[in-house]
Amino acid sequence: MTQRILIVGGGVGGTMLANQLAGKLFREIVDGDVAVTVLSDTPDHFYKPAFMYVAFGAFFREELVRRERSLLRPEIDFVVDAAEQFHLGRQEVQARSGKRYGYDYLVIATGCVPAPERIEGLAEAGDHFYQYAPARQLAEKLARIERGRIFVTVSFPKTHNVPHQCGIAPLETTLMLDDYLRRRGVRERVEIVYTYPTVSQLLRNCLFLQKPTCDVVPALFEQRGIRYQRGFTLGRVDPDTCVAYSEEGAEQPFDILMATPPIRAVDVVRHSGLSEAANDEGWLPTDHETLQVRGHERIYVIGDTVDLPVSKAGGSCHNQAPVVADNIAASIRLGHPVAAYDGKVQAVAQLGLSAGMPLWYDYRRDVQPMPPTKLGGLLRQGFNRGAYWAVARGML
Amino acid sequence: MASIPEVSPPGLAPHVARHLADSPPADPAPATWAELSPRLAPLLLGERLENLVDLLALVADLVDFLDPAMIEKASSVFEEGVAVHGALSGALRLAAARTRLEAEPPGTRALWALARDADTRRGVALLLRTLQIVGRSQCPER
Repeated sequence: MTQRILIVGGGVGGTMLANQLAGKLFREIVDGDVAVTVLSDTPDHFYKPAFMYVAFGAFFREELVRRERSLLRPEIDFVVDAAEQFHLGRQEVQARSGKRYGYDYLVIATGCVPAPERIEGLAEAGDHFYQYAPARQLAEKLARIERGRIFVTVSFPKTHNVPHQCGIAPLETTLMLDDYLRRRGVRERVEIVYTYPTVSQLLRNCLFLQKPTCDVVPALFEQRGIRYQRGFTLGRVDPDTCVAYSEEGAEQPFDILMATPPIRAVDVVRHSGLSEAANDEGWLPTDHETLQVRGHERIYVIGDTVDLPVSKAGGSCHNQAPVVADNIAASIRLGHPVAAYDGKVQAVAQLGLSAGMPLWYDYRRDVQPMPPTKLGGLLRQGFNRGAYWAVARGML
Repeated sequence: MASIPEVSPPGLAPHVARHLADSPPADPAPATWAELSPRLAPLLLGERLENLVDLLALVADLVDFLDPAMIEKASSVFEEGVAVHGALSGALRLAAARTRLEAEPPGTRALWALARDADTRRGVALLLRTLQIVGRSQCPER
């Protein structure tokens, strides 16, 4: 009897995992004992972390996309169809086409989506860089601004100890913005104000979601003349007067509101009955070590859909994929999972348009900030332009 | 001096175990100049340290030479290489594994069926187009 592994989602988590599973279970796949299928609602795979560069005029859309089929090993079946409902009892996924895809092991790798509509006025008046089209819209505004005020806000999920998308992104883009406006020669006439909410996971009144980095942010901003304010939890935005109001009672006018907006899981996950997350955000209750959905031995989750305290970013997927691959392979071969995720995340932060800083952390240790360097910037550039696609193929 | 264990830990040769027993416990503190200088002395005396300094200078020059455009081109070459390697090695690996499953060589009818398969025809077309483009690049007039 063939063991069917169904991975829902063709982002970086699902793609890496599928390739690693195919490598690990190659013998069983050839013998027909195991089948690996990736189900995605699009034939394309986007390099999402580069959308923030799009906001600063870098990267064409065509440079950020590849055919998902070309990234998957040939042993993997790839189906373009949108998952619409999980039938957990029958071990089936209902898709938009009407077809049902059965599974013995299910991996949910559907990511998360920005939800600016969850804050009054934000969708109308705010901009963000977490998707291509909004990033292009922000790029047009940033290319035109001659004087005024750019206001940066960060919104966390309401679910306890769950971070916003890509923890370092607000800091990265604020520093990139400073460099970008200097290159344009308008920085002296454009004020940048960076704010952070009162509650950021387990910290209070900080400027970043980890304390060692938070401690160096004020000096970093003061060197560049970037203003900052703690304790600004975006409550609502008035699109007519261009004023952002905080839950703490403050208000800030803006010409451009560059937001890290609220996020949520995709609808099929939110409506699955598996989530217990606050505010209908849809994060799945995830075993911190095995990455199984709690209470479901044969359902795993990877990437942005977890309710873990680690960054919702590709650097998390990179370390979660081998754990899920090992655990599914071990479950098939030995009858139980064997690997444990230690919460490790690594990345090269883009701190300014040309400097970078490699970083890593896990459940127990925070990022130890180092001075950004040109070499770090080139490393990030190399990853953006080439190494990412090898990572997605499961080669690095 | 620490005593030599009578029984080596599993997997360690007796001389390795003896060396470990003689060694002081690992110091987690970073190496100081006083610790490093005796090890650098042979390089200095042999006039080989300057090679390392030259190497560092060369690396520093290369970092200065690198710019985003050069990184983009190098990354593109890397990605194209990875993509071709992934596609060809993956196809070969799977085809070889499936061929090994067949106890007997495929008969004429099986080969004919394989040749008529839509994916096989796509693969043949890809090969022929590749050859066509290679051939065109060899023509001096176009």
